[in-house]
Amino acid sequence: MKRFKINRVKWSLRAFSVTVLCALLASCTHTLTVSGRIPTPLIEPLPVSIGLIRPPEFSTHIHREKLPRGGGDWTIELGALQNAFFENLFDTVFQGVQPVDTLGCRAEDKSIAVGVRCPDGFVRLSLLEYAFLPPELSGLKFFSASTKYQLELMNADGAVLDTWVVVGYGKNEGGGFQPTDALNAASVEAIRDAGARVALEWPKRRNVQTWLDSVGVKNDPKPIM
Amino acid sequence: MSWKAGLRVAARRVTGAFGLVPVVLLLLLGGCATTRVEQSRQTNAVLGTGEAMVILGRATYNDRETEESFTDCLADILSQGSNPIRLVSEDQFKDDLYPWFEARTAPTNANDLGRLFAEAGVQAQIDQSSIRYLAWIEGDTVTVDKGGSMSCAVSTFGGGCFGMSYWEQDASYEASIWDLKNLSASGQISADSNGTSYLAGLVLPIPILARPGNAACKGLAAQLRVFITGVDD
Repeated sequence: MKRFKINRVKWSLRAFSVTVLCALLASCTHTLTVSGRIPTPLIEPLPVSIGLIRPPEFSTHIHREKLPRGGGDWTIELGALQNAFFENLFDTVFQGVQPVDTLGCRAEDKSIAVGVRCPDGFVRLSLLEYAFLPPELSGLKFFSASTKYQLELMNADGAVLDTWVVVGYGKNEGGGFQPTDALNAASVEAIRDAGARVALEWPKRRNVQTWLDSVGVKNDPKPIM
Repeated sequence: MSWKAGLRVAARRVTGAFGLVPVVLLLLLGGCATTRVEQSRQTNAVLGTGEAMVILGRATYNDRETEESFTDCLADILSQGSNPIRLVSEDQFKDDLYPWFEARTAPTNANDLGRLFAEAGVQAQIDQSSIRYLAWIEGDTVTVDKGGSMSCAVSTFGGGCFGMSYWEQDASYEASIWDLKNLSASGQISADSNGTSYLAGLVLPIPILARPGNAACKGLAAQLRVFITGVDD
């Protein structure tokens, strides 16, 4: 009977140790699918149509990083939200948007739908970099995230008129037990920040203004608030 | 003696002949924070029937920003009571007015409201929501001093915590109220709260929390209600 009791205690301790070990290991791996609200910008659309080019990986982008000093392994799926966000944004910034795979409006190009007017220009949007910092590494009280996008403006012939790299930044105070929620909020804020800059600053760039003039658009660039 | 019996003896010695009464009294007395609220008013206009207010936490790109929990606390208090104020949530407001109230693009003072309202759709959106006042909340709660020491140990004979540690916190917040009908600043309300929290180790760790952030929230909310409605709760 005594031996049975000792064995039971031994097995209980072993089971407890394994459970604690599993919990510790699981807490070092974080998986996040960035999700959030997609607002529609309250701006006047530019009276032009564009062909929007995004690389295939834009909508499926996954960021993987192993942080130093016990920060854990992070897998962050960013593609779905940023794709939907910028689709909505460009639909509002421009009067007409056609998603295309390649440049050009020649008859043999199949990217432009039959019977649809050739767009006034093309915009290629790509994600250059996504980065984040947890409080343990930054020494601050919040998670921060940044998104770096590149916008290339090309005319109807495919010549590059303007290249602009825009960075969006976001941060969110993180509770100790909710790191993925805080990083999600910071990432959404970074995408929104980049979107706000595209909506408000991009049309005021000199090369963009020149292109708008060339396609017959009279645009009065009000100063950014 | 088993560890359970040891813990019982230790707890009995802590509570003494009067039971848990001293411990409970200590907890109740310890939760004190001093608060000072000040107000500066530029107009006498108050919230009309059907009009709403928005509470926004000012976000900056440095290492300090107003905690979301503080603005949530303000919203909870103001939307309840005998004289509740109709509030539009911060998230809803930012979405409806995107991209004009993001951290990078939001107006920094009431003088910018005129230019903002000249943008297409902004005035119409504000009118649709019947938002009259916008309250920008700035500030945070910081730990200004801490000390003491506490150690906790567990062994096969029992365990417990012994020692005493403390931390002093200062909560300083300011609300800037903008009138979206007259496109001007209506006034400012500031709330400063200070308190010291303790953690006493008497076998069990006994927290005695001052919560100056909560005290600042209550003080600021009460004054904001009087400012906006002209009626005390």
